[in-house]
Amino acid sequence: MKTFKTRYLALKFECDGEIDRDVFWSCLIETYLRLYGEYGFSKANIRLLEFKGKSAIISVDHAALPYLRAALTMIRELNGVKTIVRVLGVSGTIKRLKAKFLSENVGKS
Amino acid sequence: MLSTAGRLGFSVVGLTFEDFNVKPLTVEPPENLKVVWRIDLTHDKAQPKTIDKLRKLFPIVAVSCSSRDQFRAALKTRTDLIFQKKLFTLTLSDARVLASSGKFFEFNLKPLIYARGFEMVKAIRTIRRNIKLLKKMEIPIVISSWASNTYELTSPLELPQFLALADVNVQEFYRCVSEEPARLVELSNSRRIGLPNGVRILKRENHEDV
Repeated sequence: MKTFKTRYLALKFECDGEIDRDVFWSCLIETYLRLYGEYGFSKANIRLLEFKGKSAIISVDHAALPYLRAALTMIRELNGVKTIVRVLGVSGTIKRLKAKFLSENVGKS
Repeated sequence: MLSTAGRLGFSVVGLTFEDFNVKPLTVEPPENLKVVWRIDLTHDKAQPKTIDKLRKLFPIVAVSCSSRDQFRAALKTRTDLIFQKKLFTLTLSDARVLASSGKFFEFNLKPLIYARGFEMVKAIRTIRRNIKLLKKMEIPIVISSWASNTYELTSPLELPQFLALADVNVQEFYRCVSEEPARLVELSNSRRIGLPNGVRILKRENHEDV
């Protein structure tokens, strides 16, 4: 039995300008810390795995998934750029996440 | 804003007026997106005659309240939906009266987006308490974004996520952005065409008349 289960989230940013990886990461940390504190953040084990253009993949401990999604809904601005962070989907493996939500053929099968 | 809503995955959006002297505008929503107009009244303006007049123009009639006294007054009105303009805690008796009135209760995400520090703490505490009471009394809940610009919109499946802050199982509240708003529109339409409570139209030839 796996002791630590991880969930991977595919994110898409709806915004007019460009978004920087570091800006998004620091904003996510700031929002998560504001809502759940250092103790909560340590349990969540959040990692930013990929950041390409207007999409990203982050990983989180499965128990902290609802808390991370709540934190993501609170993000409305990244370094002055008005943004909507949209969760395309959640999966238990990166391979499945990419195939299901980030592939170019999504919805065409 | 409507095109962004369509892109985010909405199939129906509610557009709100607060001034009851205006009429719903003609808008051209993108494909696969339906617009439902709604009027928000204050408890003192929600008189039966006004509501009867407005119901012909707006499918959904909502009433706002900012305190418990206003909430009790708003419950006596013949509106479909009640919402808190300013968050305040409900009591068990408030929830009981709300349950018997048959109104829907609306939660919105907007105060949480802008609240910081102790204001946020108070907002979460209030939502946690209210959700517990509403769930206990099985009151139908509708969750909305209350967006006034494009970047305040949230995708439908992300809307109930803020309830994770109130320590509830978010998956139980997915129906608050799908089934419950659909039921609200259906009930409002029944009231609009003068059907008594409990009578439903199961099938009709022309849906445009409703």
